[in-house]
Amino acid sequence: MSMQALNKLVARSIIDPGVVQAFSAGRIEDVITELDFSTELCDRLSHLEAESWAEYAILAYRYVKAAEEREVRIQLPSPLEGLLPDEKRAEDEQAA
Amino acid sequence: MANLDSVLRHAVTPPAFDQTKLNRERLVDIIHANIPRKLIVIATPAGYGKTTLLANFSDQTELPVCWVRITEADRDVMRFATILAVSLQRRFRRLVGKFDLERLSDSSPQALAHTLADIIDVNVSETFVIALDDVHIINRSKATTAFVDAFLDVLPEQVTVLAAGREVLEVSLAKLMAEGALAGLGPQDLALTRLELAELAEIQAGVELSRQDADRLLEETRGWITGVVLSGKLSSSGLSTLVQDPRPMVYEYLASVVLNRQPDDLRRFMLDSSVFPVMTAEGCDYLLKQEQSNRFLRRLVRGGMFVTATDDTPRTYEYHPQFRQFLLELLKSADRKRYRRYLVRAANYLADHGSPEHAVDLYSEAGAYSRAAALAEERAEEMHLSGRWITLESWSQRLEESKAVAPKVFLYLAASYTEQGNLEPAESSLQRSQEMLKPGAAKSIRAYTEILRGHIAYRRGQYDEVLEAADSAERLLGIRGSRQRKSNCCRLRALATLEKGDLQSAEAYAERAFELLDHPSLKSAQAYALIDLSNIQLDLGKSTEAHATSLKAHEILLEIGGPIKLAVSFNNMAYDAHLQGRYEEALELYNEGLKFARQAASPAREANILFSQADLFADLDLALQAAELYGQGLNIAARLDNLSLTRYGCIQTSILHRRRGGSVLAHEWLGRAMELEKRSDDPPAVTIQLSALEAMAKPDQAKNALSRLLRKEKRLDVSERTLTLYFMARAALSAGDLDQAQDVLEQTLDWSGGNGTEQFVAGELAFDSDFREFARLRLGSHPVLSVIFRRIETMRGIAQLYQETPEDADATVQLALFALGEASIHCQERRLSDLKPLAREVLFHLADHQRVERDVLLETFWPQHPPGRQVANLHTTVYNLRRELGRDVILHEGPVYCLNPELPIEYDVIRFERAASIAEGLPPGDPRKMFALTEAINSYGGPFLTEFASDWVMERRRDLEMRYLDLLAQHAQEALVRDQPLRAVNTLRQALQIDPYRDDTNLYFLEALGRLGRRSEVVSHYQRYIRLLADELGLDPPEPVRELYARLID
Repeated sequence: MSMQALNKLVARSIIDPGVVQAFSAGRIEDVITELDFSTELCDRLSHLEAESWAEYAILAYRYVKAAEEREVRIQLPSPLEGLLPDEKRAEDEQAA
Repeated sequence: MANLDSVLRHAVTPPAFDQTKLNRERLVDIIHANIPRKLIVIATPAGYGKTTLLANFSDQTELPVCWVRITEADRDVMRFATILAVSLQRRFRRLVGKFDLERLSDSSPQALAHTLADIIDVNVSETFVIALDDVHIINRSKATTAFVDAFLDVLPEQVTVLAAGREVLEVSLAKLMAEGALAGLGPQDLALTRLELAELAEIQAGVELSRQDADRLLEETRGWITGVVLSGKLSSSGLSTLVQDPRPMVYEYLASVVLNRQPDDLRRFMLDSSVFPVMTAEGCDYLLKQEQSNRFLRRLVRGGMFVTATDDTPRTYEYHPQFRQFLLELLKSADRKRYRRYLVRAANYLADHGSPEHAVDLYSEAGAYSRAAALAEERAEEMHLSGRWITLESWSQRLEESKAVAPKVFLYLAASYTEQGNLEPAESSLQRSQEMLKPGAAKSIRAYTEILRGHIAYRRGQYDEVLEAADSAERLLGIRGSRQRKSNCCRLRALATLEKGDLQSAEAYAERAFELLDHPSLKSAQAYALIDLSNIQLDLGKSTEAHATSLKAHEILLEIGGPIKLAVSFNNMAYDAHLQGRYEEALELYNEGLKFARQAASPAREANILFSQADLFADLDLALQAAELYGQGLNIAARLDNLSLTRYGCIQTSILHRRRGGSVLAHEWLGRAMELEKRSDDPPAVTIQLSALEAMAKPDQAKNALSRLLRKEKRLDVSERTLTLYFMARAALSAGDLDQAQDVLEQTLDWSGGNGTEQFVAGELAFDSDFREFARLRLGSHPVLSVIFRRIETMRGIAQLYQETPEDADATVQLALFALGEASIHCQERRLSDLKPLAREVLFHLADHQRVERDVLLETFWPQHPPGRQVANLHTTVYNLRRELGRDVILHEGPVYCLNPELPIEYDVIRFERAASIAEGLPPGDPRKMFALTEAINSYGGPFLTEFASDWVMERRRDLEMRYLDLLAQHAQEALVRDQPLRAVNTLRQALQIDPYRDDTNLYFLEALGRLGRRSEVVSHYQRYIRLLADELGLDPPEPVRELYARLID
């Protein structure tokens, strides 16, 4: 749902220069509140700091994606555990 | 193209961009500047010149443009995909015959999109543009939107989609924006500038606007191009006619200026022809019963009467949508009868010329519902077979509203829903169809409704109802009924009886179902029948027959199957090959299966194949590869929250660890499998694996558990029964009961030989040397055991292809030469440190070149010496080497010197090059590639012979280092594909230490850092990199690196 709202925000920014103007004037909250974001996301997105509209869109996408990613119910270790030599295992742990 | 109907031809042909149109260079430039992006959106309300801009761009650009004009009919995703495919084929002749959309008729929109994108990627390497006009229509179709979204997601980088419409395309815009793959033009961009306005006035009216007039016009219209055109100023009627509102009174203008000023005959033509969504001269002649349409249409274009035309032959014409609407309303209000008559006549024409969708629309609009229903009924089966269920859905809604009777439309819609597993709408459509069917309706249709009822009941697990529906359908079909329908009934019976546990009857029904399908046009049904039969034969333990049957099905599917069916079929074939010991073939088939599973956008199927592939690697004792694949499969299964898939992956991972002696880990993985679904009794696979783990430490307990399983579980499948017997025998051996162990092992062998499950025994026995020895001693002459031992040998041979075994190799090595990293020479496991540098270099030269002409040696090592001295030096050096290494190490065959090929000589450069060749030979994405690359990278010990600086050494050092860097780059690429950016970073650091200038490694490094979210490292690395390039080479970073950096930082 939130990603759809973010897609709408990006769509609006294409057809309505007011969106980018609102962002530049520090009033993006006015636009955000019109869209269907959860209260928490609305708050976060309203207070995101970015130097350009493009950067704002990237950061917003990351936040919304993280918020939307389904909690994976099943948590499993890597089947490689116990098979890798120590050095490789350390690397994989770091990666994890 | 000559064979295409006018509507289709019009859809893929850009409108002509002639001198009467304003060339908007600044906008064309903006589009060009954004071409590397995946999607460029042009979204404005009507009248801003979107279509004209697309035509302008198509006319100006050097890039190939594939045009797609979207209509309401494209809300059916299959139609949209067809139009897109036609447009692509029209532009790229090499694509003709590549899009076999019929085989994709039951595919999801995502699978369709993946397939199209794959075909483009394989066949078209040049940059090109797909121009989509009127994309707002797509927004009202979930399926077509899903198609475009998936298409953009996997779009090859050489393609840009230019999408114009009144709304922004509702796809994953945020993701595209975050990837730097989106650009947009809105009304503010398309609004006319003063300069453009002046040019437009000049082109259209031949007038020169004063600055004051231009400003006023722009102010009042806000640059809205239609507003400007309709203002009258450009038609020389004076600025005073401008309206006060920014939007002029369009209809009044159209009536007073555009239509009423035309001669009567042309006005009449415009009104009557407007019933056609797309016009051709031939169509209009038919409609108007005259032969002058060509002349009228040309006059309309010349007069700028809101008509666009294509340049191809025969030309197609289209009124601007708003203008057509105006004409239609006028025609309707003036003479309703005439309006209806022309609608019906136009529908007749379109029905006969390949546009049934538009024809049904026009009949309905005319109120000719029975004609609409008749045409829809006539085309319903064809629509169903070509996957056009969305069209059927739209027809059903339209006809339902008009209370028209169209049972076949609802029936085939129900069939489409059933195939999709959409059971509730399937049932209600079927019910509606049955209500509409008259008592005297054809029996074959009534039988089909029963067959569909059976399929729905089967999917709901109501097997008695399935059999009852099959009975009822067969009664209706009688003796002379359709063989295809009868086959359908047999299939239903086979499926239901299989579920009810009567395997013999199920097999008989499945065989009959196939026999009845003896017509070549029934291939799809034949494949389904064969797949059913193969599954039943497998359950019956008839593995050879099952294999032959699935091979037949596979051959049919290769010809007609869509990606999901091909994924299943390749997986089945691979599994068969694995079970029959054709391991390398199985690996290839699994890879094909994976390709199709990904194309079908089916993660569950993908996980399934990954697990099967991992099982094969586990049997081959390639544990790392197996574990990697189990990991990938488990990630997908967990993401899907698919318990049965996850459980399977956990059990198989447990087996992998058990076989390698990791019993603690094996217990842990089995525990996870049990934890996923807590049941009072464990499923057979879990009991078998628990017993396998206990077979050594608690053999009696294991034996008892397995015996209970054999007694209780009537429905153990053949593989489970094989393993149950096998581990009972193993437990007996551990318990010291040798006779029982022999007896049960013999039963295992008999059973597996009779049921084609030798691989399950081979897979276990390969890891248990004690039991293998016992089997050899006690049952060495058993024919099945010989088969199993041969399998084990084959598996080892294949594993060696992918895995070096240095321990074994080193054991017999007489001479070992290490030239990578710290150079050293070992003879009979003794390091030689007394050899003179020149002798060492000659030895490495011989090892590296294998066979060297004497003259080459002389010129390489003693170029300055006189000939006599050269030869003497060579002899002395060879003599010294032979003294240290043994006389037979260096051979002298005529003028050629070489190291004795008969001797076991180890040379690390050859090992590295062999490993590199294996890695380089595997296609990107192949699960073996990552391991092969790791192997190759690990076998590079460092720079080649750093103690020497002669030309041949330097050249060889450079080449080897280059190859090593290539391997590192490929390794990083593979890691990025697998979403392992940290691994890629570690690899690339090694590469950058050697060559900090290389473009590809810097590009991947920045990308990997970006994916890890290490923005500050991205910045610092990039700064360092550009400084280095500027200072050392006086260069700027290449374009792709600059773009990537900009994207990461933005």
